[in-house]
Amino acid sequence: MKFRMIQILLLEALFVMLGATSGGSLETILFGINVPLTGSYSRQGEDELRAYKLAINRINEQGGVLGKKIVYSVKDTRTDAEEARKNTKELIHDGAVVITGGSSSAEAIVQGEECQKAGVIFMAALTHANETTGKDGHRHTFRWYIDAHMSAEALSNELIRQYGKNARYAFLYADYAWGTSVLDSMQGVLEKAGGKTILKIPTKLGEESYIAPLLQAKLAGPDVLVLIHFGKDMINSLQQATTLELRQKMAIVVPLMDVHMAEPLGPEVMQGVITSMSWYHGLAEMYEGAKEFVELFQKKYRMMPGSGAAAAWVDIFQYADAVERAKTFDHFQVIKALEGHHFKLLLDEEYWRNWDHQGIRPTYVAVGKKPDKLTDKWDLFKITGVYRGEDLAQTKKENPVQLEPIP
Amino acid sequence: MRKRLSIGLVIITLLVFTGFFGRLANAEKSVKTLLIGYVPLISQLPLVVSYDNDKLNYLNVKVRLVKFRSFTSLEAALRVGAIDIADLPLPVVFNMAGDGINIRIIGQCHLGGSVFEGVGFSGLSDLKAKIIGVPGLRSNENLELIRILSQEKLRYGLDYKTIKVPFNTILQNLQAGRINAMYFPEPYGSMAENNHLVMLMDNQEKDLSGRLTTVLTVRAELLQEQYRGAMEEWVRSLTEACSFIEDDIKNLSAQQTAIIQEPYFGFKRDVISSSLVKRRGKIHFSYAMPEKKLLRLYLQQVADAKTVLQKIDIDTLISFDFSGKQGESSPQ
Repeated sequence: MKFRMIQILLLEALFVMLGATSGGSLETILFGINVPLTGSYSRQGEDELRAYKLAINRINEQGGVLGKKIVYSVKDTRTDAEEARKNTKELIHDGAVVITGGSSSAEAIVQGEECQKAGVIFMAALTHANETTGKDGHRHTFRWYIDAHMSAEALSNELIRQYGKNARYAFLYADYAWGTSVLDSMQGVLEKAGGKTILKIPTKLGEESYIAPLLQAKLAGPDVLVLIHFGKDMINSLQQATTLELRQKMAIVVPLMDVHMAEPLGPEVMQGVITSMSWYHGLAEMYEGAKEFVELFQKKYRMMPGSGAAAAWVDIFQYADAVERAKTFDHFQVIKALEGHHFKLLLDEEYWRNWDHQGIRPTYVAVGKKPDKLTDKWDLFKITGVYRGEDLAQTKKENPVQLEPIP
Repeated sequence: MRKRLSIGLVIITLLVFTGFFGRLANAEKSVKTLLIGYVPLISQLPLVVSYDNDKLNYLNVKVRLVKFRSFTSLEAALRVGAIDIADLPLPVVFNMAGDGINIRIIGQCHLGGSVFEGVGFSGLSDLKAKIIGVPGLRSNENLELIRILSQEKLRYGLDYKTIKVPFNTILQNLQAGRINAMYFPEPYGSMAENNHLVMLMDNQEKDLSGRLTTVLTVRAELLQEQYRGAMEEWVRSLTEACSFIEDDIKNLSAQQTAIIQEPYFGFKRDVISSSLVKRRGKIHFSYAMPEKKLLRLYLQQVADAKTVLQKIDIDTLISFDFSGKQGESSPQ
């Protein structure tokens, strides 16, 4: 029995040694993925997850990051900020070198907060509130997605052109970080140009019926009704606005759109809706990187990637690239490699702004196509305006961000 | 001619009115829900890995996983139709078929994965007067032990005893000295070993490892045409999951699989990855149909042990609908 014990110990030792030198546990790194797979934003979370897996597999096929293969742990935030916080802590405890995710800005903001405390990089995916790289921004947080200010600036050009400077606006907005951020930005920009807010009604995240506030909007009779809702909430509010025949009386604007919200509604509902987008699969016609991504995604999943998937793709590749350039996983060195870095991936040249970690890249304004103009069920929008990141992003004066010092 | 034409028209009209064509079209398009039962064991990994990898991408099928704590409860659920599919020990499947439950074996996802461990002995011949814990008296593990130990001239029930030990009480049973050895599916052997309660028995590769233990069993209704799309898609996903696990063992020391199992099985990651990397119980994963001659041998064995008394037709019990290939046979 003693001999047997010695045999086992020797084998164990050999196993550990082999593991350390050839594909063992020391040769992998853990990425934490924290996205909503249930709740109002689950479709967006699923979209992100698909792209995360695709990107990680691709990097692993190409040899990994600094020779280490990536393993990933997926957590469901349930579209709930406190659940996202709990998940983040668990992922940090499990040893994740980077955490990525989002879909609601409230979730992204708490993830950024926890990652900052732990010294883990947070690559925010789908998060649109100004606060993510604004007053709640952190040294360890990077966001490629456009923010509310960029959407508001880009949309205001389109709205002023179509409805004049003195148009009257009604807002229904999701009553949490993202909704108020978009409301403030849009109101600020439109009122500065001469527009007038005649109604604004907060709605609960995850609300199913918008009939009462929509009827109030109908009575108020604005020129433009702005529905600041996202995910399933936007699907419900826009569907109900269409059913109540509001669209015959006023224009409808949805400040932020994603193809996975538009597709279930279909062209009959989406036609004529004015919106802004962080990214659209139609850009594959213009950029080689986007074409490669869309083709891979479509081949694997038989559907088009949304803007959340695009953000997930960029986040994984940009983090991996930064580690390769820094030649280390040390978080401070990786931050330095990302700050101010210019790159081309899904679009033309873009960069990470060093003082707020916002991705500086274009914002797209789009209008829902008429059903007879569609080439396939995903071809729902026509891009009517492309606005440069430098022209839209908040200036240092406008953005209250204060990133923590770096040693 | 005119009469025949009229009859034809009447039939077509009736079919249209009764919605025959509509139902056919809907059957093709409709998404079917499959309820899949599993027990947290390494051999059942393909079921959860398949679900976790593909749940967002299924077109024709919606999968719901249902967790069970024992093969007994898993069997009971399949018997009453509370689940559609389960990966069950062969003797249990024979028993169900003998009882007239309308089920089919559609394949196997793995070979091996059970290990024999104990305290105070180094070989099978030392097992005289010992009590051995097994997952069930109708388990493959028990039948295998009876067969192997009879070759050592040890008589079941007289020279040694086997007792059924629930998965969640193995460690306590070992600690309390109620059993001297265990022949269990992984990761229970690894867990007991990590707790310094048992040691791996020498030379078990020849007789006790790498064997066919469980088979994928479905309610026969799932072989009907209306389920074809869903079943084909799910089996494809399962096959890919087997390859995924094998690749993960080879390339990433099974760490991705160890992470994936966590919310479904709840085992510690290092226990799973180390068990998989060491291929404990000579486990490996691939989707195939077990060889008929092997199934017949197992059937003979359960008949000899008198755990199944009814006559069972292997040809009726297995279905090649979703498995083009036969698997490699484990040594018998």
